[in-house]
Amino acid sequence: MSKPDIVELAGKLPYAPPPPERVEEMRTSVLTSMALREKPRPARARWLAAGAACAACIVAAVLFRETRHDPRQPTWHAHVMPLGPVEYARASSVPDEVVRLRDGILALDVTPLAPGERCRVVIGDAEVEVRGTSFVVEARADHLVAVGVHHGRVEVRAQGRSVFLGAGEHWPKAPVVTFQPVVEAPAVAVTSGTPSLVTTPTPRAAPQPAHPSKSPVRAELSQRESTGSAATASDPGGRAFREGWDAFRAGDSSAAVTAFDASLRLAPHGPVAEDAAFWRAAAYAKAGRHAAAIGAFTSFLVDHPASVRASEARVLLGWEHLATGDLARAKEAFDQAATDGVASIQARARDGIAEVQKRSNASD
Amino acid sequence: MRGAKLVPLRRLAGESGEFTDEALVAACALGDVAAAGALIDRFQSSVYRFVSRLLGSDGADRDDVVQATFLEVTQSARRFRGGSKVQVWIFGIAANIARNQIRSAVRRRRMETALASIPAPRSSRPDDELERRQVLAQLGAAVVELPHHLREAFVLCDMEGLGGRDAASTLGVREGTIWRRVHEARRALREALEGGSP
Repeated sequence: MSKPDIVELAGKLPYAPPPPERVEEMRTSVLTSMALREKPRPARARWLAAGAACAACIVAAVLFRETRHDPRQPTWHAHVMPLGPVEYARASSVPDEVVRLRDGILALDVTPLAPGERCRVVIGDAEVEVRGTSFVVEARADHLVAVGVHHGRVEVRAQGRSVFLGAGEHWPKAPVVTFQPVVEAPAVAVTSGTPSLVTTPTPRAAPQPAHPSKSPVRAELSQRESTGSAATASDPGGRAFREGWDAFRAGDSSAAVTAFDASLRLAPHGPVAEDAAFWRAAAYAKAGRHAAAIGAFTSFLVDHPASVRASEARVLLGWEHLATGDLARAKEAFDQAATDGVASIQARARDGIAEVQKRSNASD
Repeated sequence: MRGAKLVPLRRLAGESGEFTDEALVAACALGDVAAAGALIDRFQSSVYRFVSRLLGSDGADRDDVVQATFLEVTQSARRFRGGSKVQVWIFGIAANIARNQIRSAVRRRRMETALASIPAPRSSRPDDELERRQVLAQLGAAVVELPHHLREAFVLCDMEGLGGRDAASTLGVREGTIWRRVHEARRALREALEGGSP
């Protein structure tokens, strides 16, 4: 074969470009690393800095011998979980921890702070400050859109005002609410590497006025977007949901996550949004992506605290916390689910509590 | 808010095409995160493709090398003196990192396993499209099996379309060396496709 043929063929060798979200993830990682690096200094300042660093090392070495080093001392208190495409970066670490969010939704789980420490999410000119909590924050084009608290307490400073939110509360609050119809889905066993939980079909909800304390933000937004009819295959959110469901049943968890994500993006407040959010979390769990599953279940519980699937989500969340070794949060989730009225949920929650106890005894 | 620092995550304001590559590198050297983001936006596609062809892989290895490349770009920006095109400089960084990656024994074992799984061409005459695919698969496997210094030269010149001078600058060798390596690579690939061993 002549030389030009080799070169011509080489130009036709197939190539698979990376998915856009992977590129975005790489970009954010690189820029975050760059942002946390110190700026270059002029030569004289470098010498002064080097000298100061040496002195600091000596002091630190002396202090180290005198104090007990705790290898568990964290650099971050906030465990950050992006939900879908997000533009964000960690701007600084303890004692004044700042996460800068520009666009998208983050779920954050913040361990209790020590005295004098702070942890904030900054969006444009708004801030959400926390003391040790799980919450979800949403931004669009550098404007704070919504905050929902799962547990703990946060302070939201926006629009020149400050408000404190407790567990189950949202910002902004809305006075008008309406119902959100739920799509029926067939039962399927959800296995997250632990005893499987058979989910019961979600009954089609009869129209009823929603209680103001039950997700008022999402309910009001749903009123603006929903046509009031149940999801059909003709609407984009419903189509994507159906694709996700088919993929989930076929065992393709990755495709299921992608499709449920698409459904939520296309119709974040549509009639299948609640189901898409729940099954996306379940797909993460089935794929063994524990951190993502924890974020997704947490977000689901913040957005839909009155859902018929809430206790089920708490049980699955508990197993995900167990998978990551977080016994305290696992027990908290199981304890909450154990008060559910459905016997099978109670039984699963008790199994989870027993497992927590067993692992706790083993580590003692 | 002592010690806190806000990170500009936004894309560059206005049309980033107004900035030359060299201007973006210079801004990146001063710690401008938005300029670094624009550099990534401008070159990520070609770097992913180059690394993919160099490693013969579209998986996690490629992603690691690309991320390491852009990290090194942001760290080395202040040492860029404009002696070569920015793309050539970035490709040089990627080639160095990829070379280190390929040196690992684990990587070689993976390549051998992948090559072993490619089926041999059938003895009966298939249709044209199937034959083309088989030839491309053989060529792809043969490129991966080339010695790394030949593969680098072949990918840069014959697949990425860089001129001899730019390819030489990327790899830090003389132009004559590049052309010799390209010639050897083509010969080896021709032999592999014709049934001989490279």
